[in-house]
Amino acid sequence: MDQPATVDARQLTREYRRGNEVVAALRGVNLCVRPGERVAIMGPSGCGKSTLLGLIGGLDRPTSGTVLLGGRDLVHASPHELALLRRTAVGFILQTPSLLPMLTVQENVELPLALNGHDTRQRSERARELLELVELSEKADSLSEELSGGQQQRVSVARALAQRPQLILADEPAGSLDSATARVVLSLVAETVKRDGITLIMVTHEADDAQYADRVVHLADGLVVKPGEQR
Amino acid sequence: MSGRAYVVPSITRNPRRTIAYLSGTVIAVGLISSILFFVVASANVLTQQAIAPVRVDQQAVLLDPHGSTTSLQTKLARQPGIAAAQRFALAGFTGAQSQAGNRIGQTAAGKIMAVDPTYLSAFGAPVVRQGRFTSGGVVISQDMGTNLGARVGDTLTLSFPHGIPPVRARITGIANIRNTDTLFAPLDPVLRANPFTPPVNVVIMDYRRFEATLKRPLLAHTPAVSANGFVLRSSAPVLEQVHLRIRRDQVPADPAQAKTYVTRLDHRLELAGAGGPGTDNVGTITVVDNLSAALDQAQSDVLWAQTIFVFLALPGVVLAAALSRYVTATAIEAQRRELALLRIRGVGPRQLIGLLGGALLLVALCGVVLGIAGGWLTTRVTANPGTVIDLGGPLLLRSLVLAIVAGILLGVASTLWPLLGFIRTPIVQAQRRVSRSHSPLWARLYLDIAALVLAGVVYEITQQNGGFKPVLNAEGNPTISLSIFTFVAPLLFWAGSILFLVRISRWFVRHSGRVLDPLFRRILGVVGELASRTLERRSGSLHQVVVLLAMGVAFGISLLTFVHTYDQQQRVDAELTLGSDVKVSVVNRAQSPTVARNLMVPGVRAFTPFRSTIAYVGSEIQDIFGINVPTFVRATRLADSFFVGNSAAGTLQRLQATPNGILVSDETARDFSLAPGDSLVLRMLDARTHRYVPIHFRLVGVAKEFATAPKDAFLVANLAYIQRATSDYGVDAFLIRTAGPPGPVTQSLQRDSPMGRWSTSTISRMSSNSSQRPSAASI
Repeated sequence: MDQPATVDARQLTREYRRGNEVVAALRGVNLCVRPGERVAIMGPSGCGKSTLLGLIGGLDRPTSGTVLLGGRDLVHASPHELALLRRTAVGFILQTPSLLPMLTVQENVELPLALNGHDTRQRSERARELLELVELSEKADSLSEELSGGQQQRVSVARALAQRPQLILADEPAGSLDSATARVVLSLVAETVKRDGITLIMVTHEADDAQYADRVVHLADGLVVKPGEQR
Repeated sequence: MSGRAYVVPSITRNPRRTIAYLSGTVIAVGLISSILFFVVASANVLTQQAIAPVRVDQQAVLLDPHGSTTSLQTKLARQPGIAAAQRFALAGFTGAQSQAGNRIGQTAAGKIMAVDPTYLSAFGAPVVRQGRFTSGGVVISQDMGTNLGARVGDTLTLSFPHGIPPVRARITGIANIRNTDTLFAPLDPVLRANPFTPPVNVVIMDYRRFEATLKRPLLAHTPAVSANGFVLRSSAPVLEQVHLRIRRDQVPADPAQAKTYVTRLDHRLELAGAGGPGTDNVGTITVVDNLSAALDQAQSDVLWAQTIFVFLALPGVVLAAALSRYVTATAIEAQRRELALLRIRGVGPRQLIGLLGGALLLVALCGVVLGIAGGWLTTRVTANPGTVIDLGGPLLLRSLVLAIVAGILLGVASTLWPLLGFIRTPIVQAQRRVSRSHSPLWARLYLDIAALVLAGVVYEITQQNGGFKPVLNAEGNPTISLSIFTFVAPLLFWAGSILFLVRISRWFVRHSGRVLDPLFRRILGVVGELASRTLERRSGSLHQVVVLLAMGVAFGISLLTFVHTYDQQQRVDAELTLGSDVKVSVVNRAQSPTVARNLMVPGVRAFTPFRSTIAYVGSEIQDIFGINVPTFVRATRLADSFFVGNSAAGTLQRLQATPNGILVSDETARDFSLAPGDSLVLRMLDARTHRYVPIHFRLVGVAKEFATAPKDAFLVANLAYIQRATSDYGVDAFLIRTAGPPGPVTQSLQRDSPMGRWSTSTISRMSSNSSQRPSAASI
């Protein structure tokens, strides 16, 4: 029996009201992502890339259409179910390193595990393992604001991987980094998800970043203009 | 989720944000609690002031004339809460004569006050001015000394009715018996409420001597005891009592609680008198409670403090909330980003509320403690020195609970509420900064303009009704009351002006660029343009600061208006209750012409005679006041609002023009369906025949209020007509209007009062009850 798609989005539309004007960010997008697949979503600014990512991650609800995540319907899920899904199945890496400033590096990585009810020992071991992976073990006890931008983004990667998610959603993860650091971070993400069989959907507008993906989907004006082919 | 993983670091590792939240709560709680503590302090001060002049707190009266006062005294002295219990007997004598060599003086009837020598020190009254009180001699009142021309060392002979042998004793002292009226007042609660004239001739005698020589013969003539054993009539030949002073340190500071405490003590004393378990029965007693009567006044004055709370606390709470909101606004913005991150990581709405609530509650609790401490300190610093705040008092406990609840609600609400709103929005929207572009409801409904217009209308109505229209409390009680409507205009003005300023500020924020750009460019060139743009970008903060400043200033103005309004109202109230600036009550009505001759002391602008008596309207007794219109209008202040259908001047002119004219109260006019022009026949006491005789009057006007009059039913007529019709040419009082403050006039009149022919009351003394309260301005 076929494994269900990690993400199956159909006829997704998302409209916003701006005063009396209705703005369509997405206009009937279809996207299917298989388990372990690494997909890059590309397109110009304002084409709806981040909106699509938000809908797939359950951060927003579509105006119409359906989104299935691992076979689970996100459109009709309750806020609590969505929160549970994000906590267990999805890891987010945002454009800017989004760490909680009053927590140490280790605590930031441990937090998703704490949310999932892991005990202190399990949390600590997993965090150490991930910090080793991103080569930041020596910074475990530093506050996040004491780290450079690149280091913070590597911690974000570690944090996103902490709960062993099915899916990583990365919204321009290297957007705020210099090119050398960007390459380090993207390689780290790509290699790790490949090694662990995690599905990756990465939004980017840099053509070079597409090399880390198995498939590139092109979006323009709220529509999928090129669904891309498996490399 | 382990809440500690977020809550504890969010508080301890983000001191700036924690301090911001803490400050918001501290400001709110500090402001609210200082207002609440002010109310508590006021209540405490009022209680202390009310009970301080009371010398004898309770008078325990043996209803059985043959009961043992000594046993009762022993028994009551053992009761908890009692500081002093002393025997006291009151008996009358029919005449007195003093002799020293050839110098002989005589005077009329008076009272013997029989007490133990320790009584005077236990109660601090009466005060012996010359000599001392010994068991071998007697002390006489200053007035009696004047009447007899007697001195310390003279021999005094008292005579009695029913063939009781005269009693002779040496005068060993002369005492001031002023301010001891309660000792001689009727004990019957019905009669006690009425005005009475205390005796002028008073002899203070040792109780043991009285008991050995006079008690038994006097009691032999006791009238038959009524079925209920009530022998409290002043006509009883011997009134035996035990006077009590309770331990003042045990009286709760809150007047209401103090009254409950004293009432319970009364009941306990009555039970003790009747013989508690395992004790001897000394006979039925009744306790006349002087302290409760004083506390009644304090209770009504506490309403004043509570009124202040209502009028100050509401704007205060709004101001506190706004300050709290402002202080925490930046911190909230930072926390919004954190919450968005937590939500992305899968923290559900309920978990988030729990986390936030936990952290904010912890901070709010610390803020509440600090705020209450600040409020307490403010009250201690600004209250009058010596003000006691009863730490165990229920009023304080209630205030503390209120401050804590209000503080937590304000503290948590000002932070949690906006964050909760954020939690309800989708995460992607919550990540963005959302600014409201539409006007709030009050602005769309123009509530600010409506409040300002309404404030003007209410103010105009108040003015049309004679300005600060006084309201009297219970009949005859010299209390100060407030019309709640007097404060509606300032409150509406406060709310309206704040909202109006917010409206202007919002308009400025929207249009500042258009206004400032050309102006700044013209004055400063390119730099000016940059400055204008900077201001425009920071217009949100500017708007908040402007609103906060406006609220603070408006709160201050509102407070000052309130204090000023209250002072004016208080003065008008006191003046209406007293009649004018100073009231001189004539002790002996026959001497009123002599009193009148002595009233033109420096500082007196005008005075008028005043007769207060009673008349039967049908079968109903009502107060009737006799006035001399030409002098009355000069010596008193009458508002047009006092009269129905005519001005004050018009009504009094009509009264003066009609010798048998009469003004009736609104209530009397309604009850008896009276209208101007009607004929009225009242029955009044004729001084010659001592019988009630019909006297004809013609109704010339209707009054709602009148100087010294009770609120409900009263009559006002020409003094000369009443005097002729009743053959009684005396007056009861003179109302004096002073050119300046009434204090010096009162002092001068008190100093000059020959032989206690009059007593004075002054508006400043009535007002002083409240002027000694913690100043509202101190808030």
